[in-house]
Amino acid sequence: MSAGTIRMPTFDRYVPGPMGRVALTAARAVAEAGRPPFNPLLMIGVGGRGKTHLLHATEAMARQIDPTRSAIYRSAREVAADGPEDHEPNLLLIDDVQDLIDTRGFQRTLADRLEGRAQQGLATVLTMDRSPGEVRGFDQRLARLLVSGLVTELDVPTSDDRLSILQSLPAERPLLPEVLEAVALQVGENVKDMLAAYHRLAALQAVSKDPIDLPQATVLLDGDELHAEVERSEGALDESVIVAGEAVRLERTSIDTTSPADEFGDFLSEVVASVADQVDRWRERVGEAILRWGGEGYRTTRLEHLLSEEFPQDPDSVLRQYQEDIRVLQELEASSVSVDPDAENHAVFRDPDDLAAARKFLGQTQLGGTTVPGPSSEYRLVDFIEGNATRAAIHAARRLLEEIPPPSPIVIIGPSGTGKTHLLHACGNALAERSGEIVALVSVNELVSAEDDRLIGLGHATALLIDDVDRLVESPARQRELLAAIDEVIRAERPLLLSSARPLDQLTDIDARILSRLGSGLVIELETPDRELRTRLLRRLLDPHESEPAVIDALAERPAPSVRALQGMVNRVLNEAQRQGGSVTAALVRQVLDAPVPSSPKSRANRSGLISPILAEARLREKVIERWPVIEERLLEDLR
Amino acid sequence: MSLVNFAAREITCKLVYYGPGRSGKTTNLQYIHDRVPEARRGRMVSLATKTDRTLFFDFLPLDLGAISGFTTRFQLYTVPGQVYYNATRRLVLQGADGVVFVVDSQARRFDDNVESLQNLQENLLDQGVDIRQLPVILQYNKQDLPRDLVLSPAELDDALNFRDVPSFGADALTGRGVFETLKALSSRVLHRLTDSGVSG
Repeated sequence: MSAGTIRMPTFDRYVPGPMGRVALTAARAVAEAGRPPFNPLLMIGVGGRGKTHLLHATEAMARQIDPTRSAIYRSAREVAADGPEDHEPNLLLIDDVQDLIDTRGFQRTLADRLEGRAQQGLATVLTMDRSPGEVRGFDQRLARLLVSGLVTELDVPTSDDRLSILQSLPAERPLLPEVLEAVALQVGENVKDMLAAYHRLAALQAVSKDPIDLPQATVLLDGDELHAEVERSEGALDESVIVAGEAVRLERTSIDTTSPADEFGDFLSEVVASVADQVDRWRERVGEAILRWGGEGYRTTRLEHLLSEEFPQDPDSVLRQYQEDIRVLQELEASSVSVDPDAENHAVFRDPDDLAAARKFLGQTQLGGTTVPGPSSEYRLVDFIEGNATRAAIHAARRLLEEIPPPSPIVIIGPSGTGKTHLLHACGNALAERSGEIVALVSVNELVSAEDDRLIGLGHATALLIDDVDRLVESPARQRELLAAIDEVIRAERPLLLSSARPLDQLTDIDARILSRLGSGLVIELETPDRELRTRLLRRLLDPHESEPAVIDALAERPAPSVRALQGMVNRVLNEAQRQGGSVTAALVRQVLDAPVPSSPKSRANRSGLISPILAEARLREKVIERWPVIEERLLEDLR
Repeated sequence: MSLVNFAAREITCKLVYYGPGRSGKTTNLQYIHDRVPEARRGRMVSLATKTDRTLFFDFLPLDLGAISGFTTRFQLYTVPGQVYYNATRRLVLQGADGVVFVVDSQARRFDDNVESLQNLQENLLDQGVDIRQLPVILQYNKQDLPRDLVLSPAELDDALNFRDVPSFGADALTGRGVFETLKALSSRVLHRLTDSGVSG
């Protein structure tokens, strides 16, 4: 690579000859304009006239002006070797078109491409070392197309221009003016040769004490003598030699002038090549992956999209994720096939962009058509009032919904009526809204008495929610079944949310294995509503009745063991107000709530008699009914 | 080590010149410094003692500009060669992406080379780096000295280069072998940096 192209070619660094100015202006116009007035632009000039420099400068400027515009530089050989691009770049720069002389087939392809680009208004700039008409055996249509836009010629800079090139080069120890002039006037016809000569002299001067004079330069450049004796400054003597105790006459001064004159430029060009090779290697990897997975029938849209990007953020991680998704698909497919051989090669297992559909398919296969109990749609998470008592539980629920994989299992502990069931159903509904989710929500309370086989297939649900785990105490058989389902869900890192009215350490009769699984998860307590939460809840419950603040205060100041108990209090007050035909007032609240509560004989039988009226109310409305004391009473209750 | 930062579009390589005292590490850097156009290099920071020996370290940042859309920077460091500055050596060695081990080719300095090479291996190991996993280049410096004072590259290869890493004869004062060494190391470092891409 010549020094001219190593230092990031720009238009400013190009020194044109008298005719080259047209080419320079035209190339600049192409870089600046989205749709240049002439298309294609063909620049003709023999080697060393700066064709490549101008193409690179055009590319760089176009990118600088509009980074979203794709500009691609390719040698003609590369264009032929690469085959068609997926997306035509806005600006295509093709170097050395004459190199295509041996590839007649490709000449026609290129002609088609040029025609297509011209029709789309996409700019193309090309270079050749002679005019298309002079290339014998060139495809006639291509030759015509090449000259259908603007043809410019690159000529030799005048000696003044050549001198100004040399003078513009950065140099720590500039060459003597007469040497520069000699180089500009005498060396070669093209700029590359001139620069090479200059760098050779500059390198020599850098290690010599005295500046190179004209006679020396002439000798050096004539090539008659490749080695020049250059005295080194004495300060540079290697001290270790002196230490060795010998007056060693250094014979290091013969410097090989054939070594690269611009060592840094040389180094830089190698680094450029290495970096380009490395940063673009991802394209190779992605291309391979597309061929491989596409060949196996997998959708590769994601990777194709990646390839179309010029500089993606982190192509390797996209590729990794894609391959990981394929792996998941393969696992899902294998699991499905183990249940139903017909599931093999099902289309749902070929789209890594929709794993959810594959999971759902697997779930359905495993369930074998049976349905699992789901959440009741009336509960929504937005209705769940946030307060100090519930904040931790709501936060855990959000994590369950948002994090992948979710924290699992999550166990919500709270006394009856604090909202466990509400939260479970609300989470279940939110999960079910996602595509591909099969949400199973079971209440142990119902299971204990039920005799169906509803637990079969629970483990295959994409999310499992279990209400009232503490009630498992009553059914060892159900414990075993649930343990299996829980294990499966935990292993698959799917959402698992449970509720219990009692802390885990009090559930001594439940299989220790279940308890250890639950204990290892996130255990959150739903606390008895504090005043803040009660006030918020009351505002929602009483809002339609336009209650005065005093009513809410009067209700809120009373402790309530649970949300449900609070609802009960409100209901009683509202009923009483309705019965009296008046509005709800703070006085009425006190009157109703301070009055003795009609209590049931059943609850009284079990208690000391010192029951808080509110608590009694809460018990009455309990969904979870305490164990019946005697069978007769149960029959009685059933008869009612 | 995160050499290629795709998000910030940056490539940063830290290259360390290691070796015994007076082997010519700073000379390597000075030669490179003198050949790099001013715009591309930062100030060469050299902390030297009164006797012109490197006490702390030299630091030469090279800003190679945007390559393939990546801002590419090389940071060249030397370590103090003297045995008693090991703390500084370990500090400089931290996070190195590649090492040039500058060998003093003089026969009478042979043991110093061996000692320094062992020291390099130990210091790397302390930082959890296996010397076999790190790009290392050997540079046999001072090959310009009279034949009877120095060992030839072939002899040094036999004695020191048991891991068969690339090696270069050099004369850092005149610059012979300096850029060859740098190019070889850069290339190895750059080729390593994304090879671990997908598998890693």
